[in-house]
Parts: sequence; C-alpha cells; structure tokens
Amino acid sequence: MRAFVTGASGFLGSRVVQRLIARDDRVVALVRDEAAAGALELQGIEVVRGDLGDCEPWLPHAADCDVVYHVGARVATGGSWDEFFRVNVEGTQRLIDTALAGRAQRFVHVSSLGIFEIDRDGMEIGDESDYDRRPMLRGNYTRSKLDADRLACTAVRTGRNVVVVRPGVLYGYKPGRQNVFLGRVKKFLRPDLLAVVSSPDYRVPLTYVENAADAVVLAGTGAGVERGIFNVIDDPDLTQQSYFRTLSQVRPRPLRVVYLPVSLISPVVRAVDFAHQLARRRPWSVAYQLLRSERSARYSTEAARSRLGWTPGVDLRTSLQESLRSVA
Amino acid sequence: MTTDRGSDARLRVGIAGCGIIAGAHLPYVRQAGGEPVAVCDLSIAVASELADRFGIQRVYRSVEEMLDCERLDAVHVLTPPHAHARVAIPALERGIPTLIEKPLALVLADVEAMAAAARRGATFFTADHNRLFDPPMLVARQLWESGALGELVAIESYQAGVASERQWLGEMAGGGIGDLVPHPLYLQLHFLGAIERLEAVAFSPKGGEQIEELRVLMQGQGRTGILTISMNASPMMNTLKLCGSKMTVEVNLNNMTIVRRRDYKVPKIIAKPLPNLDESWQLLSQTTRNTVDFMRGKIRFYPGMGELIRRFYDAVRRGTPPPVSEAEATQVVAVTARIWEAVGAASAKAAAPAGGRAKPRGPRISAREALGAVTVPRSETAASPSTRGGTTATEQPAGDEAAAASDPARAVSGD
Repeated sequence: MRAFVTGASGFLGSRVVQRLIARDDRVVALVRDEAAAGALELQGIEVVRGDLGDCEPWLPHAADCDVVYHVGARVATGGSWDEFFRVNVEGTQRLIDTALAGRAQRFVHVSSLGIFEIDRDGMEIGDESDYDRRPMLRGNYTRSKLDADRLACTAVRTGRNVVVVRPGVLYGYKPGRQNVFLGRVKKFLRPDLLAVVSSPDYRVPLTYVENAADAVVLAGTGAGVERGIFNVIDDPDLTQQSYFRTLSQVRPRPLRVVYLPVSLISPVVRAVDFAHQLARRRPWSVAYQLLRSERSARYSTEAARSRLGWTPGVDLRTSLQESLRSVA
Repeated sequence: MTTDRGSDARLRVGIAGCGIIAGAHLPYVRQAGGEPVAVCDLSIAVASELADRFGIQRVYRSVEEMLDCERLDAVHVLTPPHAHARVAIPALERGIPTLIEKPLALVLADVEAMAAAARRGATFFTADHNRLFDPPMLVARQLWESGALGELVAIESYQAGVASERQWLGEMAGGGIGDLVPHPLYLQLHFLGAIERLEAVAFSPKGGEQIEELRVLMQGQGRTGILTISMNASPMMNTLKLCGSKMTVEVNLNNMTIVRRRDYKVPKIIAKPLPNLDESWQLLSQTTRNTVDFMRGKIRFYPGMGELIRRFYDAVRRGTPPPVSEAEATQVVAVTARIWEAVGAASAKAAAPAGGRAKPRGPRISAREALGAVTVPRSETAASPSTRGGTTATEQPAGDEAAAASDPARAVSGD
C-alpha cells in the first residue's frame, strides 16, 4: 500500500512513518526541512520536499497514494489568521479533495481534542460533541484546527472516506527535552517545585505520542473504518493529581506541585486582556483560556476502542520514563 | 407547513450564503428562538469565518449537502439574488420553509420555479422585506390600517445612496442602482396594491453607462406613488411619506423616526408655529428614546429584520401567515421588471431621432431580464387585495405590456 504522510518529520508524523514502514507500506513523506528530508531518504523513504502552505507542487503526489495521513499543520505561536487559515484549513480541504479525487481510498486527518465547548465542569465529551462556540478567543492555531476538523467531519458526514483522529495533549521523547505535560498554566518556583493554576481534580487529556501513532495507523489501515471520528486519549479519568504523582515517581528528583485557584490570577489576566482589546493587539483572550483550564471534561474514547480496536499500548509510568530518558 | 416541534423548542436553522447580510441575520436567529445549526457557502473561508463568529457547529460547501445531512426546520437563503432560486428550490422541495433575501429573484421565471417547488414540498417561502417591519414602519402601517390616516392618497419614497461594490451587481437590471430599488419598492407596493400605470425616468447626469438617478411614478389602488432613488444627492436619506386625507406621516428609515403631521383646530396665529414645534418634539423624544435603547442594546442595526424573522419562525411553528406573502414578494419582482422595461423604452424614446427608432441606451438591462418582464402573467403581479385595503384593479393583459415595450410612446405614457 502506498501512503502519503504530511508532517512526516514531525513529532507524531515521524512515528507514523516508522509504523507504516514496519507494515511494509510504501511511504511518500512530505517534508519541508532539508536535513529531515535527507535523514528519511537514508532510510529509503520516498521524500517529497514541500511546504504545507504551498500545496500546488506536491498535491499530485498525494493523489497518487492509497491512503493519505494528514499529520502536519502550522503549529506556530504567532502569525496572521490568513496564514493559519491557508495552511491548516484551506490546505486540509484541498488535500482531502485532491486525494479522494485521485486514487486514495482513505484520508486520515489528525486533529486535536482542544476544540470542544466545555461549558460545565465534569461534562462528558464524545466524538460528536459541540465545538467551542467562541473559537476566536482561542488564538489562531486552535481556531484553525477547529475549522479544519469541522470540514473534515463534514466530509465524513457526506459519506467521503475520511477518518478524523483527535489525540489529546501529546507528550513523548524528544532529544534533550523534558517533553511531558507540566500543567496548562504553570511556573517552576524551584527546579522541584511547580505551581499550577488549576485544581488537583482537573482531568488531563493526555496521549502518549506512540499510542497516538498507533491510533493514526489503525485509522488508515483498519478494516471497516473507511470513515469515522475518533477521540484518542490514554486515560479519560486521569486527574492532574494522579498524573503528577506518577511523574514525580519517575523523575530523577521528586516533584512537588502546588495548585493555585484560577480565581487568584483571573483579575490580573482579565485586566491584561482588556488592555489588549483596547489596543486591538490581539483578538484572543487569555482569560477565556484560563477559564477553560478550570473546567475539566471527560473525553470518551469508546469509539476508538470499539471501532478502531485501539488501546494505549504503553502505560503512563512507562511512557513518562521513556519521555524523560534524555534528561535522566 | 408547521413543524412537529413544540412552540418552545428552538428551530433548527440552516444558513445558505455566508456573505455580509448573514452577519446581520444571525443575531436575530437566536433572539427569535432559532438555533443556527449549519451554514453553507461555496467559499470555505467565508463559511468558516461566519461559523466561528457565531459558534455554528457545521459547515457545508453546498446547500444539497447541508439539506441531506441536517434535519432543518427553516432555511435562510442569503446568496446573491441570481442564485436564490437555485439554492431555495432544494430546500422547498424537501418541505423546509425558507426565508429569502431581497430581491426574491431577478426574473419571474425563478419566482414561479420557487413557488412550484414550495407546492411540491407543501411548504412556503417568504422574502426579507425587512424595512416593512422597522419600528416606525410598524407604527405607520398601524396608523393606516386603523384608519387614522384617513384615505391614503399619495406615497413618496426617497432614497439617496451609493451602490455597493458587490461582484454580482452586474447580474442585476440597472446594475448598482438596481440593488437599491427593492427596499423602497416593496414599501410602496405594500400601500399601493396592484399597479395600474407605471412611468419611469432614469439617467446618468454625467453621461456614464450606469444609471444614477431613477424616478418612478405609479398609480395603484386609488393612490399614487413616487419612488426616487439618487446616487448623487446628499445627504444619504431614506424616507417614506404617506399622505392621507386625515394625516400625513413621514418615516425616516435611517434615523428610525416617524413624524405625524395633521391639522390643528387652533387660532391661525398658533397654527403657524405649532406644527413645527410638534414635529420638533416628536423628533426629540423619539431620538432620545432610540439613543437610550441603542445604548442599552435593545435595538441594533436592521431592527425590522428581527421582527420579520420572529414572524417567519411563528409561521413555521404555528402556521400563522408568513410576514411577506408569496404574492407580495412576487409583485416586487414583477414591478421591478416593469420599471426597467419602462426605463428602457423611455431611453429609447429620448434617444430616438425625429421620426426614427433608436436602440435604447443607458440602463444595463439584459435580454433575459426583459424577456422575464414581458412573459409575466399579469395575475402574478397583483398583490392580495385583502392585504391592501382596496379593490383589485383590472390590469392590462400581458400582450398589452409586450406591445408597450415595443412602443416607446405607450410605455412612457403608461397606457
């Protein structure tokens, strides 16, 4: 099977590529970075050099594959909305249209779990739950991922062979980095003392990158899942307190965590937001995002488990040990 | 026609066309008890933008996709006018009540096709004649219907403005000024009823290709109407005057005020200044109230649209009459065609050398539009007499109008 992978040299995409090679699929990797392209070519992988924001030159390659794994996206913290829209939204739509008009039998779109409306604490979120009703307050990246997810889900709904996979907050090994979740709004007071603005009971929607890659490949290869929408997180009931306890146990030095209530810093954040709005400096709101970190949801992974046959292959403790091996 | 949803349940609304006017509809959709569940547009950029602004959950690229995937109780068709029929017909055929932006269509053939689709789907459509429901217009209508105006004898509408620069304006008869015609025209026709005579003059003072000045004289059911549109006059006013045998009222549709003028049974020396003082007081009190209401968020732009959408949803839920009847909406399209037909004929006459015939110049009227105008069955152009408070006029047969179109002298004189 010939598979086209965008974001093939990225955090998740590189793991997807390794799994596809292990399956003896013929991988065509879209890569922007020249060094990464060379590394993949050394592994015998067919590389297409190209930018997600300029899809014309490489779209024919996508149309000539059996499955397209759209893992890449623009993930910058800054940049104009037009740029995010062009790459993450328009680019996704064009890729879906081109691939499925070509020989692709299936299109896997990697989305995100941060796109939902959470209007009350403890609410259950399924695969068809409502999107955030104020995405413009979330910043350009999240808004663009929401828009792209909405278009991909429209394709699913209209009977096209699109599978949407939504991992949670990804973590995993990155050379030389402590690449694990350390709270949404946080500050290290000392190397072993972390202040987190949230509550201990907050459910953290985490997905270990290797487990996420398993789900993505299952979405592209699983029988009977030509189309569907799948939320993918490792443990829907994992609380922040439980997570940090495990993290503390696997770290070289124990970690102490203090939880600060959102109300403590919310007036300051609101004032900063207001100042930015007055100056028309940014359309999004930190206060809104802070509010979201106060309300935790329980994400259902029922469909991923029953239809995709996915289960997290690596448990939390092992995944954290693996993630921290370069800083051990 | 009515839905099986309880009167308290929110109607599931689909928005077809995500341009500027959709942004005006959407706040009123929720206010009127609807939930906009999906939007569709050929452009994913504008559809996504609108969905993000208003927290709408689903986006489609075609109306068919939206209708196939969603269980909708009502659809708003907000595309450019030449596409109204193409977008509305699939919704109507599926039995979904549809609110269509003004103008309902550019040619009567499209209106007939929509009416046929509504009959097939056992549902209805209505047109967004929102100005009829602006607060001061509702007062004016009430004064007329209650008899306070007496016999209505003359109607004057005046609109000064500039044409927007929308790409699709080239599709409209009259071009840019064509887009300004529907609002004052439906206001006029609401009071005039069926039109017995119509004369029109249009030209460009600077000698350009585009019409910039238009005046239409209409004779309706026992009253006359003058419609003026100017793209050069200042300031940009938008008024409607209703002259009755007991009272005259003037509605300012920009400032949302209504001024009543009547005779005062007072000594002459007071009768001179009193009307001015009375008018000043009316304007001062209404302006103050409007300002306070606007600042409190009680009124916003396009207030009539909110009332019209509320009545549309009432019609969907309870089977009450739609805010604008099919006959009323159809009449606007038919009379618009007659205006451009008369303008074309008048231009031909003005440009004709003595004793000769000349090709009409000035207005951009496509052959399609002209054909649409002359093939209209006359019965379609008459509004329902019951909504007019007058008697139904005996109107010319279609053949006469076709003949008038080919005879400039008859078209200009109207008969």
